[in-house]
Amino acid sequence: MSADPAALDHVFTAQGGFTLAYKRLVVLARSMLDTYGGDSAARVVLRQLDAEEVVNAAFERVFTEAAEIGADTYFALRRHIRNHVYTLAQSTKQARTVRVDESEKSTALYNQQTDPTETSAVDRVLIADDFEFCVKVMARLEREGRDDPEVGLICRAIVAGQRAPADICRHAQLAPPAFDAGMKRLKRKFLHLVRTVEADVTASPARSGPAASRPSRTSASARPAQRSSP
Amino acid sequence: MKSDPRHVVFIHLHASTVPTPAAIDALSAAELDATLTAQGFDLPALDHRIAARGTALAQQLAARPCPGQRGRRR
Repeated sequence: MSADPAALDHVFTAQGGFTLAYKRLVVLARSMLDTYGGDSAARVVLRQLDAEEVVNAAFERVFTEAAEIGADTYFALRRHIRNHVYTLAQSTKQARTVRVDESEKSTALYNQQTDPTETSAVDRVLIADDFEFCVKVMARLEREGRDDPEVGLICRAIVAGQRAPADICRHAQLAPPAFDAGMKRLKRKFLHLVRTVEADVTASPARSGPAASRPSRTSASARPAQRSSP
Repeated sequence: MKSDPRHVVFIHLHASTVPTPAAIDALSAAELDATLTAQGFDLPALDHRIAARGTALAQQLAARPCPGQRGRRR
């Protein structure tokens, strides 16, 4: 059967055609993979994933499903990408529990004795890892942002529990234009530092050893040049 | 540990620097290319791969049975 490229563009009309839709999905996948920051086990797994591979996997699933291909396909792809990344991120965080035997009584007893609100050992390690990464980034942000009083005021407002821009403005006693400019500088500096610290962590032999030895879940490692180091 | 002020600021900044799906959908073609470049993608190579992927997907789409044909018995 002959392929009609226009038919594919027609499916993604609202997104500006197939090429633009694909690029939007790649940006989304990359952003989602970056969302799970830190130096945790989940991050190590996600770092090995390639955004394009995640998008391709979503296309494979949607195009092989029985669902009709149409205007909603783009949203189905987005859902698949989100679920894929989220599942992988969560899979390394789930505490492994072992029952003593197969009986229901034993299971019920075990469940009673386990406090569901208690942080598991696995979670504690992940938090510690993330926290270590966070401290590295924030220490450098603090050092490099010392000469910027607006950035300092915004950070203090966030620590005080303010989240909405208007609340941060009020707490920091900043005019909206000054807040916008300060926040822009802060975000730019923050992103730069996250990438720099992450590159340092990845380059460190102590960290890169286990990460490098972990088998890749996709062929991402076969194309390392696709994502340049910052 | 999570109540540490540095962690609070880190979490807030991290969340605010990740583009939302709606923000990504609002990007123009030029802005998308700029974002992909910032994310470290080699644009010409990416365009080439997308074109190849588009051809394969178009074939897959053409091969899909029409909704009315699915499950019909002879």
